[in-house]
Amino acid sequence: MEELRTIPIEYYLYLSTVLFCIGVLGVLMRRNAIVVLMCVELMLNAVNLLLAAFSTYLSDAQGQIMVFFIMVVAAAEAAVGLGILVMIYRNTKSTDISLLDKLRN
Amino acid sequence: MTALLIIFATAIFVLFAGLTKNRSWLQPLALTGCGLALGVTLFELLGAGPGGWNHMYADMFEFTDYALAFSAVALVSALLIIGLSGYGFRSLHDTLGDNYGLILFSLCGALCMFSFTNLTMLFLGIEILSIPLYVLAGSRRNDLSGNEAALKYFLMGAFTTGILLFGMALVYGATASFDIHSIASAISDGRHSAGMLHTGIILILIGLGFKVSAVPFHFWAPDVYTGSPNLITAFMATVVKTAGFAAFYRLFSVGFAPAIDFWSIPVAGMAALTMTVANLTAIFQTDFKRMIAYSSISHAGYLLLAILACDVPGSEGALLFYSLTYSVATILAFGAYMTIAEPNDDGSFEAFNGMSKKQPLLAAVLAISMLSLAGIPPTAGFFGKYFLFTAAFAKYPWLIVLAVINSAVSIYYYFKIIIAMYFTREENDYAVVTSPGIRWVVVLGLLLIAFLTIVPGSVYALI
Amino acid sequence: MTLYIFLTLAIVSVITALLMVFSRNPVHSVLFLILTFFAIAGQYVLLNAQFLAVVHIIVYAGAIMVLFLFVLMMLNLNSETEPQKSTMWKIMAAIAAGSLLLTLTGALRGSVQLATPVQSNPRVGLVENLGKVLFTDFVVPFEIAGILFLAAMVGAVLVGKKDLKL
Repeated sequence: MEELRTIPIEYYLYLSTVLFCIGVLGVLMRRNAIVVLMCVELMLNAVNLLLAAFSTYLSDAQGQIMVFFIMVVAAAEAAVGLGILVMIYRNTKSTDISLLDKLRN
Repeated sequence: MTALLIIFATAIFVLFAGLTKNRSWLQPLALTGCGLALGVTLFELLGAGPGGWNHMYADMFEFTDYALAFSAVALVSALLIIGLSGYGFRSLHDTLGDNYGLILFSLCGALCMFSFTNLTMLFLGIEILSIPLYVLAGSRRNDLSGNEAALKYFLMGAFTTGILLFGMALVYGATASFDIHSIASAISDGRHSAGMLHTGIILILIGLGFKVSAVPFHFWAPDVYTGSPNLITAFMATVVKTAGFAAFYRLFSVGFAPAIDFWSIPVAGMAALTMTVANLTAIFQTDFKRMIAYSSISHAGYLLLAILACDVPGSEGALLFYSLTYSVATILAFGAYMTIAEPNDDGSFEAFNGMSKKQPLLAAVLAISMLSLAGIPPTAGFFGKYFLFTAAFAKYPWLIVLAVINSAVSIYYYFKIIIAMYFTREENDYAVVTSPGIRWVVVLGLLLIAFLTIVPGSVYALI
Repeated sequence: MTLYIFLTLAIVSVITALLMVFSRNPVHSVLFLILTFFAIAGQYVLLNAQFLAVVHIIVYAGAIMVLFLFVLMMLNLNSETEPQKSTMWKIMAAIAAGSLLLTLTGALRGSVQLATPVQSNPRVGLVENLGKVLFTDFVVPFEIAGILFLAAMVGAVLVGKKDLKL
């Protein structure tokens, strides 16, 4: 624990910010809906890392409990989201998000 | 909490009942559950108090009058929507029970969002509200526009969750707590690191802005509203909006209240943008559902005023009254719209031509709900706007001037429908298909609007 | 020593995350993301959150990513079928994400001072302690999460079901 204090909390903050922004980049850049969903998972993991770091540095278990709830939600979201994607694939034979831009016109 | 338990139990019953051959009693079952929950909530709100639920379980929730009153609003909306569902779900067969179950699950999430004191509960509430709706938006599985709506709603929702959570994590780091009362005391004591707190608040603001579709985070809403089945759109435009704003208000007026000087500037900007952009875009719409989508975005702009005025007494009541009138009017409008648009597969304004002769009752209801949404006196919507604008006037006079101008602009597009129904010479041969359920809902909704018009103070003064 | 482990894991996670975003083949993306998750699990161990690390591996690498991989293989998606956005759009996305990164780091820089407790407790991340907090203080969210799972399960089944005419 004392050894842990050699790593400043800022490092964790910056690391999760960087991972979060990479996730955002992926969401904006990719067109395959499955990869977009994976980038969202990366964003959630950046949050998890930050929460775990705060939890340890504050000696407070709440942060880690929150991480469990985020994992619960990530799993539920992945199940529903992949279900929706498979449904769309059945109808369009593609998971490209820009194919589905009919409503705009 | 009792209401939450009743709704959850009903959802389970409905799911199992959906497995049986006879599906005619699914709707009565769901209605009974919602009615029971509404009765209990009103009983608790008007006299009995929330029972022994408060301060149990480490203060995860708090059933104040605020929470109970908003639960009642959501339950009223859900009752009306389920009342319309006999019509809206008539083409569903094997998945009817699942659809009712998911609507009720989603309602459970909304009920969590009214009473949370811990950010964990807020987060779970938002997710329980959203995840069933992702599916419901695409519940017509072979319909491409429904699929697109489901995918867009899902991807936006998941992305937003990430942003919201990053904000929550930063607020946790800054204040060492998820409890909104502890967050507030940590902020007012100065026991926090300002940079993390402010970044966190902004990220939470963006996340909630997406959820309540405030400009500039609104772009998903018109597509999702248009593509989803009509009944689900009505649910999104009413229950989800009410829940989103109630949670938004609660978080910012309790948890982040000491930092109001910091967040009021971006929220004011968001409100101004939301009202203006949504109303100006709504003018150019030719499709009823897209118009309603932009109208619901513009109402989000007005509702943001309540959050800005959260330290003014009476802003809670204004938010409550406005949510109720807006929800009832929107659901009535959808009820009338479904009867003409669904049988003829035409959602444009022309579909309403000559409706006053074919269905005088429905045309009158649609006209009244449009007048109420536009805020024409003496409808209930007028009082809603009046309460909201007076609450925020002292602090943001310029914003109220903008809001009044926007309300005037909105009259233009709401009146397009009324003109089509009453004053258009050219008629179409569209059939209007109604059902007894729709007539019941419409009459009930009209009575509710009449009640709100005659004694607006009774609801406004509840909390 | 700890610092070096931290830096190694951090660099690995950032590089694999970038590779995940930039690889053309979605299956490679999944595999890189799993590597990122392992690096993050290493961080959890470093943070004395051992239980979290184990759960993280089981849930993410073990369940969620396998689900992704399963769907990718079922739909037979690979680099030939992978849709690409135009270069212009990619540059725009990179600029947007880059400015987000700059804004966030700028806002957070130098502001971090945690309310460090007088006595730190190294046992925070152990199962015993976490279980106690989860099943006492957080028992309501825990139960509520059950509703969430049930709703997600019903939803996933509803979406996946074939239409049956009765």
